[in-house]
Amino acid sequence: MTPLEFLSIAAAVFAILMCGTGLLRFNLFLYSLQTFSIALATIAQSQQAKEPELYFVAIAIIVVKALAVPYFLSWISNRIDARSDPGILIPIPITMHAAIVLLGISYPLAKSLPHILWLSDSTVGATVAISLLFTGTLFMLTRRNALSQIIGFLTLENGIYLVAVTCTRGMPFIFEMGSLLDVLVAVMIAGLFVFRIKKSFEHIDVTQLDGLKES
Amino acid sequence: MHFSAPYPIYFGVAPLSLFLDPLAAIFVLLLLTVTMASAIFAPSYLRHLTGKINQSYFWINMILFIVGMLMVLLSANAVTFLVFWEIMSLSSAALVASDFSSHKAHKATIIYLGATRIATSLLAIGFLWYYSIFSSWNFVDWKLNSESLPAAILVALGLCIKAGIWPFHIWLPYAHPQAPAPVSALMSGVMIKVAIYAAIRLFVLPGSGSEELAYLFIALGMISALWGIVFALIQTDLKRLLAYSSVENIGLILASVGICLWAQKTGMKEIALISFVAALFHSINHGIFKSLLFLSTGAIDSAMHSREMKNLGGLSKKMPWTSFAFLVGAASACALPPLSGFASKWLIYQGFFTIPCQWHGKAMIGISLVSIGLLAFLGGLALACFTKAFAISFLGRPRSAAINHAKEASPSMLIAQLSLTLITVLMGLLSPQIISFFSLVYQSILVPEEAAISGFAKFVGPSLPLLPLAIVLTLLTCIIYYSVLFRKRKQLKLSMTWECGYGGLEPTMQATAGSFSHSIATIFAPILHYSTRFQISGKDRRHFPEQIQVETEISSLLESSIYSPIINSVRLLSGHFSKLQAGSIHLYLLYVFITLIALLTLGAKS
Amino acid sequence: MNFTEILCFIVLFLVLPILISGFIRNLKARLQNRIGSPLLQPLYNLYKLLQKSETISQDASPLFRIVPALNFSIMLILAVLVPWLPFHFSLPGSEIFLVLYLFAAMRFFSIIAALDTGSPFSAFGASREATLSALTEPAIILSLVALGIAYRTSDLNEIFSFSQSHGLMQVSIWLLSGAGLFLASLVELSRMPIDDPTTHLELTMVHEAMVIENSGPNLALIELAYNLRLVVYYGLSAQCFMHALAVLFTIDHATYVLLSILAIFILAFLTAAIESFAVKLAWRNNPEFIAYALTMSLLASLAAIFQSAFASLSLGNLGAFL
Repeated sequence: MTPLEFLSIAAAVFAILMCGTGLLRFNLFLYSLQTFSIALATIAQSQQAKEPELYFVAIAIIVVKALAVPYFLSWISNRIDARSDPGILIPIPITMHAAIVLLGISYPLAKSLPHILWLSDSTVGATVAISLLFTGTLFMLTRRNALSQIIGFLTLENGIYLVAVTCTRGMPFIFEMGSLLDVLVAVMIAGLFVFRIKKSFEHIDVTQLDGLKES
Repeated sequence: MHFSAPYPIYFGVAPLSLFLDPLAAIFVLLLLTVTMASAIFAPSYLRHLTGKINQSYFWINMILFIVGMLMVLLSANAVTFLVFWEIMSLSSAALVASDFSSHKAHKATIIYLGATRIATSLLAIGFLWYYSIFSSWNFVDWKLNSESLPAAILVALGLCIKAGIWPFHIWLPYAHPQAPAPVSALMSGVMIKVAIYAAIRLFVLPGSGSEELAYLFIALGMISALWGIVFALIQTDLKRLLAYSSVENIGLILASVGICLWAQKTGMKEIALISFVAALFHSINHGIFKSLLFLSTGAIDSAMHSREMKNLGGLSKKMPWTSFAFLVGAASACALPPLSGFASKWLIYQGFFTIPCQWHGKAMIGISLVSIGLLAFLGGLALACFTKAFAISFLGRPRSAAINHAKEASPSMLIAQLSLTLITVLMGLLSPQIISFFSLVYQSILVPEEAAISGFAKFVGPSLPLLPLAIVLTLLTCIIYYSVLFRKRKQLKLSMTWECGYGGLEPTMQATAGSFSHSIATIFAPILHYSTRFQISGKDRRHFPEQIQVETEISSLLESSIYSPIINSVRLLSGHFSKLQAGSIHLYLLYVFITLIALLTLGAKS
Repeated sequence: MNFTEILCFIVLFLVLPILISGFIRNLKARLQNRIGSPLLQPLYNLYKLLQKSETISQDASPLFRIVPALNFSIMLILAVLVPWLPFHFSLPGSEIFLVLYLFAAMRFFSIIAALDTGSPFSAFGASREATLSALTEPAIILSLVALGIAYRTSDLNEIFSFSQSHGLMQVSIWLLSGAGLFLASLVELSRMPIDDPTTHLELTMVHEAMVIENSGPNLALIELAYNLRLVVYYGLSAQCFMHALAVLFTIDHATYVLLSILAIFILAFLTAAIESFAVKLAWRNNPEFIAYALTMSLLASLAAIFQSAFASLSLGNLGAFL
């Protein structure tokens, strides 16, 4: 197992652990750990593939996605007094175990992807990327809170980024930075929206959004 | 050994033919053991049912039932099998109905009869299909291949109904509480194993295995196991509890048969052997300890005239031997070493565990891992279930006045229970020998490669040192008991149970069966439809309650949302059909006429 | 196993249970700015209890006094069977499923003894113990099974003997299994955050409520068995972490033994820290905590499966696997 693989698996594990709790602060902490290990995986990749500009990407990820975004979201959750998410559809512990099963399933899925674009040993990276996609979606599916939806979305985004890093020969530097900026802006906007929604409706329960349909 | 009746004794298309191979012999041995215990038990048990049950009716049906089972085990062809299968089913239905007067018995009999009818019709269709493929009624000629798979699945479903596998287990918890205890012992101990025996004979013995059937069996088996134990846990009637626990155990046995079929198909000889022995051994063990538990429950019933745990309690002082027998049975049902239940549960674990170790079959590895986790969970639930069953009914303080008249069961009832207890203990202690004997059976029938067998023998013996374990355990316990506790017996002070100093701890304040299982039941609330309602009345209701009412409600997801809609629509349909039966002879003649014409045209076409 | 090792084992076997529980108590006191009881306080307590006479409920059956002796002897056997120290008696029966079902047997009897007196408090405890153990059992079994899959045996002695394998995968299997075992053992031993062993409210206790009716020598045996169980569980998880360490670095045997004992103390330190800083979980949130133990063990078994997949790949089974 190479360091890259180990770090990306660590990211998947953090994402899975994130599914197991409804406490938003703990969710954000685990999200930040997950992003951190993805950033380290980027550094490992940059050494492996001899692409020095990936260093900057990694540093940017750490600063923006692993520190700024979680900090911002936890600040919002404090401001609007949303501390935990009761969950919906299936019990929260079962979500975590379902995420593990999905991790198991992503391995054969990753194997069945076409190999044309790939570097030689990217199966594990692809597995983790697919599992992050699954986990993020599952997380969004099983939570009520609007903030949890943002966290789930960010996890999903991490998965997409990991596909880009491990499976392709790397996107141009400018694209990476651009998408990072997009995420930052998206989170800011989403955060502001959550803020406004809380003010207007006094809750941020997304299951009650269907009440908006009539008006 | 093979026996075929001479020409005139014919069941329509095939002769009455019987044969006895080691596999059948093992099941016959189980049948005879349980029959012996039940027969010793029954006469004094029936005494407390005088006036409710007609003795001659009971014994005639009992004999028919036992002979039916025996002949099913011995039958060599499908027709003989079906005939005696029917005798077995109908006589057991009659036994379920033996207490005519009660309304519950009527309902139970109807449900049980319904289940057996469907089972038999599925079996009949499957057997006919088999016959059309292999043009033989003999079991020996029936192979398991892609052509005969649909027939096999039909037969398997029929057998599953009889075995009480989820989702067809509905009849078990109705039929068992109504049947007299010796009958329950036979039904749960042996009759449902007859279905397993048939599954082994029809699907495992051809030796080719089948992945589809394997997945079906494993899925149904594991679901039954979980479902059965969860429902067993929340029962308050001892016999219903035992009936649901039978669903659990039969599920585990079926899952093992499934593993065996899968391993045969993929050529994993060692795994096939392990899970075959596991299924066989667990069938026998469960037959013995479940009969034991049913007989002990019968003894309680005859002493207390109740099997509801809310009326029991404190029985161990009145009925020490019965409670000892029940304790051993419960411990064996929880698979505690060194009893027999552990030995077979261990084999089931090994069957699942060996699959990922040998790295074969991708999907199966996931299934086996999940199954190991599930088995552990089931073990924990079984522990909760049987500690509840034993402790609530035998320990603590008596909950009803009936205890004053209770006395130890009669000698014949005790002999029946204690002999089964002894068998359970011995089968546990001698399990390495029994396991190697069962693997010889498999070898004699199927002859897998020598290597697998020798590997198996090497790993079973040293891994299950139950006899030395039991000896060391007993010695240590005695030494510690006598050195630490026994020498202080003079200073022993008796006092009341701690009640916070308020005094007046009523027996009703003890934990009940419902309150003990409450915390687990809430976890499974979705499938149990479990809900609890509290009503506190009094002036200042929170601090000085005068009356507290707690009501718990349970309804099975299956019965409420699947079976009752089906039954309702069937009832509606049959209402329409009954219009055909108008009572007019002319209309009936018209039917005959129409049928005749239809048949003639069909015949002419071909 | 040579003579020195047996001697070491016996000494540790006698000393560690007392020392560890004394250590946890003392450390907790110090973390709360108290001086705390001496390290050997559990020993003094045991001595005191053994001297006392016994008071039992008039409703108790003979089982009530047999069970502590029985459970203690099961625990003694387990302490020899389970490789919780880096010494191995190569006894038969040191086998995953047998060992776990012996633990289950202890639980069976202690639940029965708790229900024996008809006390509503011990029934609370018993009911909770039954629930918790049913939920934890899969976690414990799967973390051991993960190791079993990695080494292709269900014999604990073989699993925990020194192996020549390397690789991050091996490390992660050991670490995850160890974490799963440790989390599960917190539940099994009814420690924080599931159960507060120092609480004095009968309604919230698990283990303490179950033994509420026991006293004197009877209670002493239960306490002793509990301490031994604690050390065995912690020792087993410590061994897992130590094996992870041994895969990464080469350690000679004497250092290894010392480090294993140190690891048990570190786990005890962790327990004390958790018990000082964490709050007890509400009963309905317990499944969430236990789920993490199960997650660790599931991940460990996933890692073990992947490892055997790669092993079989390198053996040239590539075609068969794909």
